[in-house]
Amino acid sequence: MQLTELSAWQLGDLIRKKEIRALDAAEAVVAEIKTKNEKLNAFLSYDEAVIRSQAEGVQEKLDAGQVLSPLAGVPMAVKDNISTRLYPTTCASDMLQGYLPPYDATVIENLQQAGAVITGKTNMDEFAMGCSTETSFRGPALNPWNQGHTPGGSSGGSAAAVAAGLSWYALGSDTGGSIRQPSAYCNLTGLKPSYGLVSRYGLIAYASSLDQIGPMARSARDCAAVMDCITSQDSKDSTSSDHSTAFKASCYEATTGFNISLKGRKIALPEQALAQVDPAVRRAVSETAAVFKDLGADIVPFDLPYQDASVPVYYLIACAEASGNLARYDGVQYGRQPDNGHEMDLTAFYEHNRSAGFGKEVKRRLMLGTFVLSSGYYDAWYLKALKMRRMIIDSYNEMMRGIDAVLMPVTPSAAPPLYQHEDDPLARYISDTFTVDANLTGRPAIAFPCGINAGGLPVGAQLTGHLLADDILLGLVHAYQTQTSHHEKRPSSARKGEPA
Amino acid sequence: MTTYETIIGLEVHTELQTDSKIFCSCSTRFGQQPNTQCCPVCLGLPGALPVLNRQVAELALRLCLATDCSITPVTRFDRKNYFYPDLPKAYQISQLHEPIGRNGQLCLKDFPERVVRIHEIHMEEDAGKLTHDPWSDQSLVDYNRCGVPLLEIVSEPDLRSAEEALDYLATLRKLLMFLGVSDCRMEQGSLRADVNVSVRKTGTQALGTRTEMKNMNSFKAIGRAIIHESQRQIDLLNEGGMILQETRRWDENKEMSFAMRSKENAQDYRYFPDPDLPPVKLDKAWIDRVRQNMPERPEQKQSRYQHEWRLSAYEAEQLTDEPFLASLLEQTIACGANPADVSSWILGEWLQACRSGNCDASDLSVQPESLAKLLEMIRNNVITRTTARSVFTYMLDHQIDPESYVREHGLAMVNDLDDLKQMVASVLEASEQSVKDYLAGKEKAKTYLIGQVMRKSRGKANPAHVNKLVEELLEQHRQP
Repeated sequence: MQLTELSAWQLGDLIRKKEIRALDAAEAVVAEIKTKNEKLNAFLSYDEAVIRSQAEGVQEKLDAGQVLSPLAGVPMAVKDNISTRLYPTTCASDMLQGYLPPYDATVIENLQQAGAVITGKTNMDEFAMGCSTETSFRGPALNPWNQGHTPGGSSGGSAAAVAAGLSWYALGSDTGGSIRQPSAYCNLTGLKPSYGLVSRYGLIAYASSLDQIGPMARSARDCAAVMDCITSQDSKDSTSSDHSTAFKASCYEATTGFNISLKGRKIALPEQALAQVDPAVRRAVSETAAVFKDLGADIVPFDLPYQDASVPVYYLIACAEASGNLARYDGVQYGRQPDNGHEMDLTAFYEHNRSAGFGKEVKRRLMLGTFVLSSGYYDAWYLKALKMRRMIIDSYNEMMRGIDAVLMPVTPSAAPPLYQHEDDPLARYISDTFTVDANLTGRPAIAFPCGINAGGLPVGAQLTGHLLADDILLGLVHAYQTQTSHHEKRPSSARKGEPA
Repeated sequence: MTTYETIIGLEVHTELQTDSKIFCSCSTRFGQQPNTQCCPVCLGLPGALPVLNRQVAELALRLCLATDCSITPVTRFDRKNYFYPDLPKAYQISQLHEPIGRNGQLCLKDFPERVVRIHEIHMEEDAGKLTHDPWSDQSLVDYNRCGVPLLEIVSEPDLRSAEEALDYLATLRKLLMFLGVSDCRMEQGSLRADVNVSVRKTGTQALGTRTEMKNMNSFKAIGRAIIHESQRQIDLLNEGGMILQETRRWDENKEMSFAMRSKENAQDYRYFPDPDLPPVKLDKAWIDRVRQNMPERPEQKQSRYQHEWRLSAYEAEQLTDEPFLASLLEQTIACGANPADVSSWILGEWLQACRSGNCDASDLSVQPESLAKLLEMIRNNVITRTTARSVFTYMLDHQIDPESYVREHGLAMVNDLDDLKQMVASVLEASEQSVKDYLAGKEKAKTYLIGQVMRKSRGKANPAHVNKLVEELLEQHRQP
């Protein structure tokens, strides 16, 4: 039995039934990380000793008869923008090299209570700004399906780790598609939960009103099990939903006790979205609609509201918020200070530290955000974007009445080759066109595998649902995954023991 | 010669009297070791998030209601962005767009015709404290003050002189203290004021260009800065010069101000709504609750003291000068003491003790129960006022029950007429000259003799009895 080929809940089952020990799973994954990570660059940090001692700790609790969660003892990886006391948390930026948080994010506390074994921190675009991990200070992660291609981003390290068998599941964060797009590029199921369902306390902010932590795994059922571990109403996060506690446990139930018949469910398919994408993506998404139809769902037409506005509105708001959120990295507490800092005046000191500490893409977005908030431009840009966001939210509320979910592609194409649009930020930004609406509206959205293209790269589909109805999305995708095997496909490089 | 009118507006910052900070649960206590009252939130660590301390909104609501502000139904926080080493997030959470209160007013005490309009009241967090160490040429940051809740109270330019401005500040300070909003200790920085000053030719309407003055650490300094700045502007205009809109820094030692930055160099704070803090709904039920629990305001107390307890206007005003005196008065009366007795004791002995001990009224540790017992003993002729004074002095340094103390030390008043008669007789015998003087018509000699009797009784003799007996016995001397 190849442990690394099991799903997370299958592995959790074996550990709970004492057929294997938590340490066995830990050893298996340590061996895989050691063979493959150097090439894949999926982890920025991991520590064998820390992994083993966590596994032993969880095993002790299980042996003492404690009931933790279905995922107790299952090793998992965490995106490097989620604060952990076990590992440095750097956001893949030079600015935060060596920063070891003195506190754990709420999701980390929740996971540890659930018996998770945290293997390490995964690569990402610097401060989550990017869609390829190319902006990482430590270089990009590679796509396990084809190492000349990007795993996506910004949670690309998490995606590469799970796809390559270096982890059973991982946490990502999603501000404009950063969980869903890499999930699609690496043949994973990834959920951007409803805004407020998962605490953001300890998530290093990119854009506070859009950021949300969520699971990336090999199936909807795994994602559901993770959601039950991480969801909580958090008094430390004012934007945390008071539904979170009641919601807990409903996700896993949605996939375990799910009625496979989708009779009465309405899924909307926006034809105009299909017209804009690669033929392979169009075909795969259409076939997905057909599967839902076979399962008994009604497929109804839909028009994506204000589609041209979504990406600009998203970048205006995200960059504006980021310009505030990242202002604290000024070299006083973080980053490298110049040797002759004491000779500089304060402004020169800040300029030096921020110019040296941030990468190109981060600087681009901070400049943009600073500009749109500046006196004289606020009304014309930022305020207008806020109004537009309100209109998009209202339109979705109106148009999704009576509809359970909207089905569409995650991205216009499969994973592009690395550095394809390096000098063309607009081309990169526009590929977020199908993912940003979920963040702007706060709605949950799930990406899931729906085929492999001619080049051997995975293609993903996406369902967007109703606020706080994340369990419905997980149930729909679970139903789909009982009828299809796209999600079970693994890249050849994921085979155990083979160097990547 | 042209005469000018001075136009003044004030921006007052006051630290709220909450136990914990505005967005985290760290303590707000003043004077602790540097950087011992911090957490990821107030240190602005990556990933930490603010959560509003509801007590801050409640105290802010109190002040808004007390100054007749209209309450913003949905109030919001904004980020004010600027870089400075005492500001770890590089933005201050403040309120620009939807402050908690607007359009209020405050009446002055000594200028009853002057009603100062309040433009707005908003909540915000304080920054840390920078100390420059000239010996090592290093700047040190103490983040204990980071996140301490502040209210900023912005007046309209309705004040016309330094006296009016100081009256406004004193009235506001008293209100803040009585509402339990702030302890207003200027020396600890819990009350700070920036002053906007402009001048215009008497009789004209348009406002002149204003300057903003910062860095005044006392009421005195504020008064001096206003007088100085208005004169500077008048002199400048008389010389044909122009006022620049700028921020100036007051130097109290030199009694001069210096330009800090002009309007052209004003910072762009790029305010925007803080996405980490949802808007706060101030619904009617919440406002009503705050209104019901509103502490009595100083002027309400003052009139109640006069009507309910028959204190004089002067006494009532003195006793509402600071919350401690008012509460001492009320608590001591609640323990059964006579209002007039309490009032005269506080304004007399208590304040005298503070003056001689060079301390604040609240620094004396005598409890209201004990004070009430002491005053009742005087009223019931158990002890003389002289004895009470010395017992009180002893109580300042010792936790005692005054009744047992009087009993144990035999300090009770001597009322026995035979004993007293003997005492008076022996005094008269020993003071032949004074007796002669009295009989020769010197009234003063009698006072002296009474004093001698009191001294002999160590202050315990019933003064009324002594007075009577001395008179009686002296008269007996008159007829040999």
